[in-house]
Amino acid sequence: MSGELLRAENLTRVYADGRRRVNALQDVSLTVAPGQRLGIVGESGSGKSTLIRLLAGLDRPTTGQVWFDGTEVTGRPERELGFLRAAVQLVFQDPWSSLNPRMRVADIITEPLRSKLVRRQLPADVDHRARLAEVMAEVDLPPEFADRYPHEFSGGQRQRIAIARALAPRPDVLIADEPVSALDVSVRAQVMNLLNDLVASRGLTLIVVSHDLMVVRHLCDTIAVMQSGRIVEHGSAEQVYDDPRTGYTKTLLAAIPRFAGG
Amino acid sequence: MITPRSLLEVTDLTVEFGRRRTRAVNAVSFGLEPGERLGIIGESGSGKTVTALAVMGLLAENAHVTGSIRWRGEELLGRPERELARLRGNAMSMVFQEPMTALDPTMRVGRQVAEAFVLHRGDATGSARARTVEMLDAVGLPDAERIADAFPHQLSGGQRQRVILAMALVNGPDLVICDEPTTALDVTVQAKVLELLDEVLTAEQAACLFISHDLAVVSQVSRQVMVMLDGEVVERAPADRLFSAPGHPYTQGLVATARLDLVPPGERLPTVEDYYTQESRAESQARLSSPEADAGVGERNEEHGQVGRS
Repeated sequence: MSGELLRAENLTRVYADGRRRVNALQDVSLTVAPGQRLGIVGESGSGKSTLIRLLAGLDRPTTGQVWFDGTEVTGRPERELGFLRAAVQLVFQDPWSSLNPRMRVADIITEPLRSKLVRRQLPADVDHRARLAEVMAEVDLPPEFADRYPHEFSGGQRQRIAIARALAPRPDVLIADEPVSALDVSVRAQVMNLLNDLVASRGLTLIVVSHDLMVVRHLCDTIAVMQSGRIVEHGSAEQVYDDPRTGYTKTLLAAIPRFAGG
Repeated sequence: MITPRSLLEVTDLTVEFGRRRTRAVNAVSFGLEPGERLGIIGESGSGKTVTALAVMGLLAENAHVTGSIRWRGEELLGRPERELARLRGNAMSMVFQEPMTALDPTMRVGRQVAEAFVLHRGDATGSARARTVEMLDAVGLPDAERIADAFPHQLSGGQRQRVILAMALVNGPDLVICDEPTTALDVTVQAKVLELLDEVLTAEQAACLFISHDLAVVSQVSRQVMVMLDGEVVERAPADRLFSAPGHPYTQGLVATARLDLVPPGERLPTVEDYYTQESRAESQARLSSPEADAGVGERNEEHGQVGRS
């Protein structure tokens, strides 16, 4: 497969909500190359979270296929998805609810290494303590934080813990779902700088979902704009931001709050 | 200091919570003229919301409040709840962030708006329904009659936030306090709600305290902006000057870090610490808790006020 890490073909996802049927995703196709940084933007209900859940193999499409590195993900039972679980890691929006409050930071970060599915994909001699120290250093967390609990940390620090956990099994792909939306402006830049550095230094493939076009423009080289379950525009970040082709993208760009008189 | 025209005059407001007297707001002073709009920015925990709740008289019972909050020259602190309740939702009202929790899910939205009206005006003339529909229409809800009969869950986030706005405006208040009113909304909806807020505030000639962590949003709504950090006001200035030439190093950092549009994609973003280090922040906090804290605070504010004015 020529320079293609993830491939989605004609993905459809229908949710049954009582008697109503909701078409969360309608005929979505895309490919992601190794090292690519893809931003998926759209408003609530546009299908962006559904799409990444399908790409990460956390949910199954109603119709359509997903491939990872040439292997089909769709149709495989969970026990055969170890290769995907190790290679694709996620960071979620809310660092208050995505970290288990009863676990120490050290156990949270090394949890992926203990997962039965992921373990089989990793070298047998992975030293958890050494790996913990490595990833904590990578996200600029002092080593003494390892023995503490999530509630002792600020939002920015928690998001660093979540990123460290995602990095622990040395993934190829990092999927971040609104990674900075719940953070204060004062720490948002730090987390974005960290993501940029990590992606560059480790050659990670990055998929960022956000409602914020400015965040995506800063972190990504490619942007897909979603509306009502479809990708309505897909192009280089520069093109989508500077020369949007569809009316919806133009509307989104025009709605970004700008500094009055600035 | 207190001009007879002042709508709201907050002086040395200090709020502490609990038996350990944790200080959330420290010696905050600001004034608001009729029709004036003041934005409050600062990170979570900086005291923005606590300040707003203190003005509304809505702080929890374990809050220990000192200083002075004058409404049209009359002291509000220490007034009985009964009198404050007469002001709330009438002369001053509040719009909260989360439109789903601010509305009663079991009650039709029209009745909720009408309730705010009837509570203060009574419904002897039977005009509550008409006024409700008028307000729902004024906040840009299409088919206001039908919306009035809907339950909150039948409306979108943007529609719910408009209902909240209608409720806050139904009695023609002199002051509307907005606490992150658009944070939970999509950007396109946010843009519409902000435009609408500007329209109705102008039409009603109401003053506004506008709290947000989004500096660009604040710059659109407010002519004046006040920056809070660790419970204190570190700077107040006209919006255009605060965002183009911030005085306090913390404000400089906040403004720099918010301007994603000025940094080429992929390059390092400026952070608050580039301008105001954790060390200097800790230092100024330590100064606060020292015995001579009160004198120190006065000096500090004055000093930064001058920086902001130069």
